Amino acid sequence: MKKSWKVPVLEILDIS
Amino acid sequence: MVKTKELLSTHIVSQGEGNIVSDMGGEKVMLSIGNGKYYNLGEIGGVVWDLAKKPITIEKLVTHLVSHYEVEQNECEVQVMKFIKQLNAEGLLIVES
Repeated sequence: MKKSWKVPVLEILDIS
Repeated sequence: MVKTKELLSTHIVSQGEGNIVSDMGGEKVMLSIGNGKYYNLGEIGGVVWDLAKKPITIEKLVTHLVSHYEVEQNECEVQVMKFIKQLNAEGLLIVES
């Protein structure tokens, strides 16, 4: 059974 | 090194060096030692990252994803290429012809 697809997005985290 | 605007499915991608990678709640997060930025690649992005552990063509990468996820080939290829461009621009993935 195939898994549900999510659009791959690169998230850049702002951690000061 | 390939300019990302010329990205083709025959191009080969591999992991860039100098990143500390960890799995967090099913998502792949990493710290780039080079630029000090933190990234979240998400679940699918984490799979892409793992597949790029050894050099792999984008075509094979997409084929793997299509066989494991509910997504059409063309849709997957477009979205994955866009994602690879982002990673390449940040120096996380290396793209070669």
